Amino acid sequence: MRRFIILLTLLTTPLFAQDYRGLSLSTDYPSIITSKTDIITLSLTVKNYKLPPQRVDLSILRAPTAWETVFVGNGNLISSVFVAPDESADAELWIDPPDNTPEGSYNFIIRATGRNNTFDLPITINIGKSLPRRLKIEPEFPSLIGTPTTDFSYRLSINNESSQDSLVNLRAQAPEGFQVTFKKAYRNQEITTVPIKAGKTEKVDMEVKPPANITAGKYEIAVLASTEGTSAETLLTMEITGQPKLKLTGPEGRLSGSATAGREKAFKLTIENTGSAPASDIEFSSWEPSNWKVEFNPKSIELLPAGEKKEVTALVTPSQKAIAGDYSVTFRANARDASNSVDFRITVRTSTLWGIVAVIIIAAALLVVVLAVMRYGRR
Amino acid sequence: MKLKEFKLTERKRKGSPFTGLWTVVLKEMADHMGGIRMRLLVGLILLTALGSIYSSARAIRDAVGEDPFIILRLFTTSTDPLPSFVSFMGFLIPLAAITLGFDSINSEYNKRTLSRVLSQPIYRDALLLGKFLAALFTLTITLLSLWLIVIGVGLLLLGIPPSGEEVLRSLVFLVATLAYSGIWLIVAMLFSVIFRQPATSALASFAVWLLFAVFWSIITGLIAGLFGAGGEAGRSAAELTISRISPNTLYGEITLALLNPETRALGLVFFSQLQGALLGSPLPFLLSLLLILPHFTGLLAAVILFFALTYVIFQRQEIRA
Repeated sequence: MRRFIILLTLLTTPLFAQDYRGLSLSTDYPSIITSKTDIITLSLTVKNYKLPPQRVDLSILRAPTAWETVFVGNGNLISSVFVAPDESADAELWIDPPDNTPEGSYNFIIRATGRNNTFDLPITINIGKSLPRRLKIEPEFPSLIGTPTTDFSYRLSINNESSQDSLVNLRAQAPEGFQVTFKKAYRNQEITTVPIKAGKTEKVDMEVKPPANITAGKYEIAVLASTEGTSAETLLTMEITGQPKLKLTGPEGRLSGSATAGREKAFKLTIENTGSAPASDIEFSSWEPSNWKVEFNPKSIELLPAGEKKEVTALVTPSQKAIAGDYSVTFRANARDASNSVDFRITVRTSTLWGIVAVIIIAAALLVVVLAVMRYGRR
Repeated sequence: MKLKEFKLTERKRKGSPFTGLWTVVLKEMADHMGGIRMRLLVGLILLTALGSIYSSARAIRDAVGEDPFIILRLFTTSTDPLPSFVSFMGFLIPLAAITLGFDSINSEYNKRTLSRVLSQPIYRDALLLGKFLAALFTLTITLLSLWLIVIGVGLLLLGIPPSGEEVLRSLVFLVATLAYSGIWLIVAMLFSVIFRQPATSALASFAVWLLFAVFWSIITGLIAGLFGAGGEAGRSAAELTISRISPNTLYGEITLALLNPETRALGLVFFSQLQGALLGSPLPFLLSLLLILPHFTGLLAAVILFFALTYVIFQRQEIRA
């Protein structure tokens, strides 16, 4: 009966607040249902209605045994508040249930004692029941399309539909060779877990890098967001369209060779399609120093299926006037949607004709000596 | 009649012209080594070489980070007051060669020992060649010890052993220096055969050396200006050709190509030849060798021809005083 009166008082306070004289002690939710057994914090408001300014003592009138309670104000332990007329003061009540508290309903009565007035606030804490945890994961665009070199980026919204903050684990099941990374939206750090406050939604970017040598097709990636007791899953698809990719390499992988000035030299190059679609109309071209000549045999290749290679001969004729040493020549292969070029280092050797001339000159000089000896010698 | 006489003389002259060659070589070398003249010269060369090597080693240690040819830089780096080792050599080697050669024949003549030597079973051929070889060997010993000093100082101050290519390049540089010194030696010997007074032959030798060392660049400019045709390029080409008559130019270019492996061409290079060229990459050793082959051939052929000339003049001389 008394509780009923107080409840009535609380409910009707705004109605006849004009006339009410006395103290009030209130909290937003005087009845809490929770499964937590750590500290429960209640915010208390003490208000003085038309009474002279006074000190109001706070006390616990009734509490279950072994439950600890403290009043906290502004970071300190308190036992009373001060209220001016028609003003209110805030305080917190921390309730610490003992470990292994059995399920059940626990009642508290908090009393505010002024000079002449008191006010009792009953509180009920129900241990054992709580809102079930629930996660929801939703992609912004569940299906993307691109080439093997594209970075696929999915934006996921993860909603923590429960009353508790959760640490959500993220995991993706992708075909082999796919690289999946999670990033918090608009951030750069890669993450594997994301903390989500109760009832809030976090946006997470998932980036997928398909392997370079992947064949064209449709691939599925399952994303699993899980936290204690619950999980959510969504299925993403990516469609990879084929792309040719050319790779031009020198003989035995080397990118250097030597040639004699003014003389043609053949270099066996290899063209390989490392992409996922056939390359068509491959044409070869080159950049060479002026007065050099570069020809390709064959000049072009009509079709090179994915994964196959072919040999091309580059016939390089350095300029007659090229000086000894290294020159750079660029070979290029251009297909319709792919191209590749290599810088080839060619060491030019000058003609060894001078060597023969040198020998002849020295021989001639020696001949002169021999003739002189024959004519004038042994005197 | 001439042919007959030739055949007659041919029959008269028998035996190897090299008889007694090594006797002359060894005796002459002993004279050179023991002589105060050579000791002074070697002392001078060693001092300057050590000074320039030490200062260039210190400069390299302070400045160079990574260089595949760091020992070769010892030869070519010059620090402000001191010229580089190679320019010292270009200056001192002709001096040493002339000093060894300018009185080789005429001093014997003046001391009246020439006829006494030739009364032994030694031909003039052997005497001249022996004297030339002895001086050349003496220079070789000096140069070899210099080379070892450079490598040793390099090891000591830089702490880096020379690579195989560096050793090869510096050894070929040694041979080229020898050929260069051979030129001045044979020119000095030529004058010692021509002039009876050692002072005259010394003066003549130094005059020739001075002509090429100091005045040749002025002369090339003048001559090219007079005869060079075909614009700037033609004139430069003419100037280059004329300057290459000088052994100093040849030796300088040999040094450049051998000790700076980045050198790709000597002389004029047109811009179109440089298009696409990767500058700064070192030339392989054999290509560097090919580059200096004409120069080296020129030096060697000149030595041989001057020897032939000296030989002919010496053989035709009246030596009985």
